[in-house]
Amino acid sequence: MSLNLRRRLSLFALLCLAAGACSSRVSPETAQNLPDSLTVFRFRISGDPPSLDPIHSVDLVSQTVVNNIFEPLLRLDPLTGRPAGALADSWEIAQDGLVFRFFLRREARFHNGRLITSSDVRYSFERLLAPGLAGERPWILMPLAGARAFRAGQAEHVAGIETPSDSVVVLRLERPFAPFLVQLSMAGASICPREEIEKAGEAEFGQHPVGSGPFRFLRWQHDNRIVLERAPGCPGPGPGAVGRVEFLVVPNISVALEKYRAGELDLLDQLPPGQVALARKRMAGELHIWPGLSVRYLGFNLTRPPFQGNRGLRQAFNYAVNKEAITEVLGEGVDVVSRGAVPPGLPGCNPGLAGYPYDPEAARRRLDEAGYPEGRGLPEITLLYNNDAADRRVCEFVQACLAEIGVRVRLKSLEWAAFLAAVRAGEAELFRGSWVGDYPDAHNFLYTLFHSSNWGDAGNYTRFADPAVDSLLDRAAGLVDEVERERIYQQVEVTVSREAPWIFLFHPGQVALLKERWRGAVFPAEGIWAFPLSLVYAGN
Amino acid sequence: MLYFILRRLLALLPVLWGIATIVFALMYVVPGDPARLMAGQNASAETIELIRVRLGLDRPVHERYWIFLKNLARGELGYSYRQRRPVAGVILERFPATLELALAAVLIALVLGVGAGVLAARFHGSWPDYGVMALSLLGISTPVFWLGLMLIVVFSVWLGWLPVGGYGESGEMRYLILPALSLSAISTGYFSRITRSSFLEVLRGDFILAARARGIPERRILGRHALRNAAVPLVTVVGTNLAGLLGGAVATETVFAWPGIGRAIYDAILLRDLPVVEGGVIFLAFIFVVANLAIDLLYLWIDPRVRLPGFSGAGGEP
Repeated sequence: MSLNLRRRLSLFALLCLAAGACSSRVSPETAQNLPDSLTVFRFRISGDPPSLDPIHSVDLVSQTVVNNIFEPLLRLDPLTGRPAGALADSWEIAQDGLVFRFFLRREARFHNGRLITSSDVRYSFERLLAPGLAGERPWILMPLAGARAFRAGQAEHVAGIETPSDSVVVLRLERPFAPFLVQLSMAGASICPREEIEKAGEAEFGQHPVGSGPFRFLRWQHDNRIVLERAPGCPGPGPGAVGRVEFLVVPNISVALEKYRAGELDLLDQLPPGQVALARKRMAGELHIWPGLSVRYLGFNLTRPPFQGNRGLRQAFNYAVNKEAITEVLGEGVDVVSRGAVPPGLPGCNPGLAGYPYDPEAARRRLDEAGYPEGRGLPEITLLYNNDAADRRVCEFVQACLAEIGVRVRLKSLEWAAFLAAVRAGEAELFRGSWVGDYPDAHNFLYTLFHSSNWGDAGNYTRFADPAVDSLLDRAAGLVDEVERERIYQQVEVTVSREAPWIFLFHPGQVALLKERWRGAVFPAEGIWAFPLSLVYAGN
Repeated sequence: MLYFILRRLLALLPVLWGIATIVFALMYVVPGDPARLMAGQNASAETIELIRVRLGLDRPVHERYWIFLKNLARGELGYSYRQRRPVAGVILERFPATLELALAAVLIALVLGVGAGVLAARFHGSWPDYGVMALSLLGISTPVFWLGLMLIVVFSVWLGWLPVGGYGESGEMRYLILPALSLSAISTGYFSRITRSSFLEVLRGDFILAARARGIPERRILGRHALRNAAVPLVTVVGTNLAGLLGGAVATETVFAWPGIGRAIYDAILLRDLPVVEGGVIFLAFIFVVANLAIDLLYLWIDPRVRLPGFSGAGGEP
């Protein structure tokens, strides 16, 4: 036993020695003491991406990384949100909005050194559409002529993709679809090298991706870090340009904040609840707040009583909730009160929409007209939400607001997957809802959330159905005239607001902390996942 | 000995089958469609159906169960729905980090807990005893995630001595210290209490009295005579504790961004990555049972008086 004890003591002594050896202050590498080519940028991600294959990148974490390794034909300009050149440096659109001709960037190469040609575009697009591979977002390219036939196995190639030369790709649509260019900028439509996929195998390619983006993949330690380095031939914005990116997996946001404060992270993609005011005071130069591309609401189930066919009741609920208090107090002044579904600033958002300002008197009147004076006769309403602390606070606040006009609300929380299943199955009469835009276009909000073709399971969870709205949305989707499109979306917003399928709450703002030494940063409306690292450089 | 080990390993099979069946059934009844979660909110019904077919979720439950068992019998844990690679790879990749953390935590707990327990027993009824008991209660009662955050604030943010979580590029030692300390708090409390009570009992023994009468120094009595006899109940606690920690310490792994197996299984549950949940739990069950077997064998080594039924050294029937 004494030998055993001695061994244990030795191990303990070793541990103590190791602790002592580490007791000097940790000094994170900085841009200043590294050559430009090794300027390291540490970016927090909240989880381990499931795959780095663009066709399987659905979640925001994957897209954060994939966006830097791969390149689609177009990217969204981070300042304007409009399509800008990426792999294609120019393009032409036919008058009828059906044919798009893309000219590939000269000397564009994959990270393995091979020149990119139009056949790579065909290969990548058909890979996304191939039914056997089940890429999660084939809808990005479904507007292409012949996409359905190809997907059904009735054609060898997608008829709507033509490659007249190595540097020109022609895409032909089935019918005009206005958001097509914006959809082409999505990560799923990135161009991949066939030989690398065939060499690695379909499953393994997502673990060792090879693309043509500003950074090339170096290594991936699962649940720990992903390391990229600037790709050859992508010089960046000059001296101090980010040379290496480390995406560090830090699930807990409070710990991530401490990691940022300790200098172990350069960019923090969000802040823990209640920390914005403190950051405003202590880290004002590092705090960035900008409007987002999402909407938060409480959805009524329009196929179930008491909300079915009772617009007055739904409006009463809207008037009863103090949205300003939610955005100012709970949202710490970051969020913006929602009057419609389309986020402010996005073409199609109706700035003239009155929405439902907080007005308890108007709420009581509407409740009375709806047949429930002072809430009498109205059964207790169950409000379903996912068990998230921020959502719980909002739901509790709404519960208190509604109690003021005599409405009893019971809160019920479920874990995320169970919550989604319940909402999709139409089991909830009132539920917490949110939508984060896939791309900055009103179509992605109004069509997805209110068109009857998405009724129920596919995004229109309130089960809203209005033939007039459907017809307007169908028309707008095919319009080339942007002004007319915008007018139609604003008209839809008026109808939707009047019908009140939701309690309109707010458009979440976005918050990030970025160390002051980094310059050239632009914070895109799509989200921090689209943060253009290639533009960032270390200042003096 | 060999017979005993073989018998215990054979007994593992029904245990694993039972666990596999329970996990499969649980994951089948919980709401939430993996294909839907994978496809994202904008996916069409057709895409979701294709993913469901690819994952084999369109098959009847009994068929899925049969395939699951067949694969398991061949040692295949299936493919992760989300990561599209073998579950065995996902688990084995994370297990070293879990093992490292669990061993370090148990080592710290053993050193601190046994030391404190011996001290408390030696000075029974005086202030060191009360102090150890109070601290052990504190260790047992402190939530691991809170302690973790406090350690980070003090040692990483204020003092800047250690990194704020993470695993480093190659699992450097400095990344291990805080999570191991945090994880060891509860175990330290238990170990000190067990050691104390066990020691008190042993110290009342006649052989200790005899040793003292022979003039053997107190340090030697404690270290050589008492400790070995007091270690038997401690071994059980240490063994089960280690096996439990190998099962993953989700809170610690999350707070310290430690890439361990507990976090992988927890994430897989949230994302309905059923093969990872099933494979992970079965793997951990295996580890747990093997650890228990190791404890039983350790008993024999520590205390030769202990004779397991069926163990005769010649492999005969009990």
